Amino acid sequence: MPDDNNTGTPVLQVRSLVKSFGKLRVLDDVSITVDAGETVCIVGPSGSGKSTLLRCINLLEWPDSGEIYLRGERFGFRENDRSREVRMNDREMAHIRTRVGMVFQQFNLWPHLTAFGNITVSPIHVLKRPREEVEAEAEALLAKVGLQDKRDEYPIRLSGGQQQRVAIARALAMHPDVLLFDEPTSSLDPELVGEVLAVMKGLADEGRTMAVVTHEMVFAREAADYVVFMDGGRIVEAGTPEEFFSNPKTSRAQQFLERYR
Amino acid sequence: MAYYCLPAIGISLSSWAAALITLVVYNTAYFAEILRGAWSHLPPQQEEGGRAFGFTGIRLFVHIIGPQLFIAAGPVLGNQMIQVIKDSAFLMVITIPELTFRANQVQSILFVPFETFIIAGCLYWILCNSVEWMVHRLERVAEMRRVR
Repeated sequence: MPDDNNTGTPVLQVRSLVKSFGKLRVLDDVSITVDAGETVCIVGPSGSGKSTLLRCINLLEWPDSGEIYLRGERFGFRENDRSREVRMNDREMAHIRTRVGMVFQQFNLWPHLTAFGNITVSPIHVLKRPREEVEAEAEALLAKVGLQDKRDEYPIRLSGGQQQRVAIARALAMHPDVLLFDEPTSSLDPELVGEVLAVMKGLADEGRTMAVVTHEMVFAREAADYVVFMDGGRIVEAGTPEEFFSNPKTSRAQQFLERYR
Repeated sequence: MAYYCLPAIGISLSSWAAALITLVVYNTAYFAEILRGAWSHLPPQQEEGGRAFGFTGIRLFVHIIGPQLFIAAGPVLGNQMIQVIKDSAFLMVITIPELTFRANQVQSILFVPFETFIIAGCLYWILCNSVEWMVHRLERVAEMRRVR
C-alpha cells in the first residue's frame, strides 16, 4: 500500500542502464524516475528495448551497467562488511523482487493453481503473512478486478482478459512499491483489451505507482502522468502526455505517432 | 551385484538391505530422468514468474515447479512404479522371498500350480491397479488444469 507517498525519494529510479545481447545494444544509457503515485508509460516501436528495460528493473535480466534504486535502496548490489559493493545473492534479490509487482505480456499464471491460489500463494509462502488475512484480501482483490465468480477456476478456463486481471490481482496482493506492466494487453484479442485497461486505469487513478510498457496510445494519453518514448534502446523523448501526444518534439516521435492517428 | 559382489570389498549387506538399496538407487535414476524431462518441457516463463514473485530454491520447486512436473509426468511416473513392482520379482536371486518366489514354494509343496499362480497374479494385479488408480486421479487433476 502506498503509505509514504510524500517522501522526497522517488519510488523507482533507474540510472544509465546499459544492456547488450551479444553485439546488439538493447538498452543504451536509459534513465527513468518514477515518483510515488505516478504512472509512467513507456512507448515506442517493437524492439526498442522497452520490455528489456522492465525485465532489467526487477533483475530477471542483469544489466551490463547502470543502477536501479527502489525507494533509494540499491537493487542488485549491497555493501559487504568491507564496504565494497557485491552482487546480491538469490535470496536477497528475491526479497527485493517482492516489492516490485510484475504483470507479464503472457500473464504467466501458474496453471496448477486456481485464480484464488495464484493470488494467495506468494503472500502466504514468500511473505509469510497469515493465511486468513491474505485470503480475505484475495477475495477483495478478485472483486476489485471483477472476477469474484471465477475464484475457483483454473487459468486455462479463463479468457485472456480474465487471466490478465487475475495476474494484476496477483501482483497487487504482494503490496508492491511499484507495479511493472510489460505490454499487458499485447497478447489479448481486441475485444478483451478494454476490460484490462479499465482495471489499470482504475489503479492509476487510485494513485498506485506504475510503470507501463504499452502500445495503447489512448491509455497512455489518459492514464499517464509522464510518457517516455524509446527507440533503438535509447530514450528519445519524454514529457507529459499533453506535450508528447499533441506536440512531439523529435521527428522520430512524430513518425511513430503518425501510425496511431 | 550389491548382494553378491560387495562382500568382496568388505561390505556385506543383508539381503533385504541390499534389495532395498538397489531398488531405490536404480529407480531413483529413472524417476529423476522422467522429472528432468518434464522440467525441460516446462515453459521458462513459469520459473521466471515464480522468481519475479520472490520464490527461490526449494520453495520455488515445492510451490511452482514441482506440482506442475508431477501433474505433467504422472502417467510416466506410474509406468515406472509398475516397473518397480515387476523388478521386485528378480529379488528372488538374492534369496528375498518375494511374491513369485513364495508362489513357487507354495505350489511345490501343495502341487497346485494353477491356483497359486492365479492368486499371485491377482496380488500383482491389485498392486498395479492401485498404482494405476493413483495415476488416474492425477490425470483428472491434470485434465482440469490441462498442464502440458
